[in-house]
Amino acid sequence: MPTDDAAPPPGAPRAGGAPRGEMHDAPPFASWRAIYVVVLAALAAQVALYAALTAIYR
Amino acid sequence: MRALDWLVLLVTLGAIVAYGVWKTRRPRDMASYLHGGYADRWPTIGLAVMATQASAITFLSTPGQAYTDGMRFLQFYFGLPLAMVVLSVAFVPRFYGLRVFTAYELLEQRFDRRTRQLAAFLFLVQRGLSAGITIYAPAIVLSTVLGWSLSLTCVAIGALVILYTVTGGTRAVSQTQRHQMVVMLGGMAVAFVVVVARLPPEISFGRAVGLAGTLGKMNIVDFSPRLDSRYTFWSGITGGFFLAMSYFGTDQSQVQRYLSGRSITESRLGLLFNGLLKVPMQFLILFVGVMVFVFHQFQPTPIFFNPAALAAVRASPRAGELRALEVSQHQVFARQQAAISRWEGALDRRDDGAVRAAADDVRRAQADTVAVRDRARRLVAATVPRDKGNDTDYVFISFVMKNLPRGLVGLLLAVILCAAMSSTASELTALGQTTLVDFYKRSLRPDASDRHYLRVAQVATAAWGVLAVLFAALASMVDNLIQAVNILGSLFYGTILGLFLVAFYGKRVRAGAVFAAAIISEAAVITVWLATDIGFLWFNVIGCALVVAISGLSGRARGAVSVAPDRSPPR
Repeated sequence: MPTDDAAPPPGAPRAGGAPRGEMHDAPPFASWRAIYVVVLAALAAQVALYAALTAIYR
Repeated sequence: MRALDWLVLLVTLGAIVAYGVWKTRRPRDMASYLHGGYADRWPTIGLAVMATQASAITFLSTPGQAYTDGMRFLQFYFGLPLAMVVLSVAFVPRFYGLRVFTAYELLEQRFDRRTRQLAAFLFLVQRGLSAGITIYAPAIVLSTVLGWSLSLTCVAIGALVILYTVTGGTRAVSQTQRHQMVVMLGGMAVAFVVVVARLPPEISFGRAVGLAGTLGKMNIVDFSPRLDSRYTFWSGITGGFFLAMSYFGTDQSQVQRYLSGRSITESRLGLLFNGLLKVPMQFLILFVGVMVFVFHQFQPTPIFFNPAALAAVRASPRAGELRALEVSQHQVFARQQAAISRWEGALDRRDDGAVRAAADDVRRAQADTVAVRDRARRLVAATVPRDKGNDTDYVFISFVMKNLPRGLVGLLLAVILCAAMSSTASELTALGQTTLVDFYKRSLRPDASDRHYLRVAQVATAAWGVLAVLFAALASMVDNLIQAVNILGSLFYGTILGLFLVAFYGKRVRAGAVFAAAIISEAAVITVWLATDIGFLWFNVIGCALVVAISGLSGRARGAVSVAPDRSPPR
């Protein structure tokens, strides 16, 4: 809610988006934590690989 | 360009645009136009997010950047996967929970209309200018290389995009981007295979990478803590993180992509899909540039890659200087060939001392090549002032036009134009949405009918498209197009991200304080840009940190005032 405006005037964001398909939030595989770990581990592995390539082909 | 290339180009572009228009014809209401009926699954969202970021500049400039500067630009993307995780955890649930059309609506729910419209205004300014560059970038290069009219190329790209964005809205953009992204990735993979296949038979892939490394192009990761170096691991993981947070979390051209998801799960998975694939994709594009560089170690290289600028110098009174430089370049090239042969022979004999000595010779010859090309650049800049002597954006297209087989030239041109259209389409729909939702509907006509808003959204999208085409047709050459877009974004993104972070986590901060903090921070970022040599990625950190810090100080002051009476001792 706005802190300074007492009440949202007509056209304020409450009139916003249409109802969402669903707010249900469960990943189709594993858990969110596991998926986040996979994304970050992939980044770490790539940085390690690129650092190794940089060192080898210096 | 041959008939087969024209056929491949026109069929690819025509099929994608026709599919997008047909699949999403006649949106029924404003919601379906702005968010495509919330029907997208995560693969579509992920590809659309990637296609929005991957503009034609990505495919024209990035290989050229690797050709001249090596692979270090990859570090720019290291913060992106991290940002995708944080956005999935912190931003996406909030956007879903508040049912917003645009990201900036959230700021009014937390602060006030002024703050919302300030962020929306900063977005319109920087994205409106970027949309022009997004069209101009491929148009200037393609018109120069292919002899097309610059204005006509700008108008053709803009008209195609306006056609399907105005008729189909967000869903048309997502549907076309899915196919455009497949063409882009496939085209770059083909380019990689072709450039490796065109290397001399005695040069294996391993030797090619080794030669690139010897000449300093495999400088992928740099852990040195230098602030003045534009791309290091640290600037990538911090500045790149902040830039990615701002771009994907607060730029409506991206927010609309994942808010069109069928559910919060689909939106999160789409972002994480981008987090997994983005760095490898950029590696591929940069590596193509490095292989083009290696290819040119065995083939005579143009002394300057922009053929039109070269022709202008040849027609000028300074043509003799150019001829002298070309003779020098041929001499250096012959010396470099001999050094590379010695290097290969030493590798075959496994003679480490000879390998090091030959590698030094190769580097010296390369330094001489760079020196001759620098002199040619200065000559071009002096003779053709509007060109500024920068040919980075012409390196890859020059390779494509001269070395790819019939048909594949058309495919690679389709890649570049698909990229131009996909990013421009997202920008135009986002600009139209923000104009409608954050300004027109909020401040001018809050109670009009849904049909009226649909029409206004379409008109606003078309108007931004026309403005972008006009800006593109009038724009002049900037230093390096991809850097120009990123610098422009970095000037504003930090401030906008700071606003959102304070909205999420600054519980005691009032609207007036955050608004003042945003104004002060934006002024400070612009001052830093004008007055210092700090790498542009740090602008994102500075802008964001200033908004958070100034707002935080005001919050503490307010907290101190409000709690003071309670702490006073009883009388």
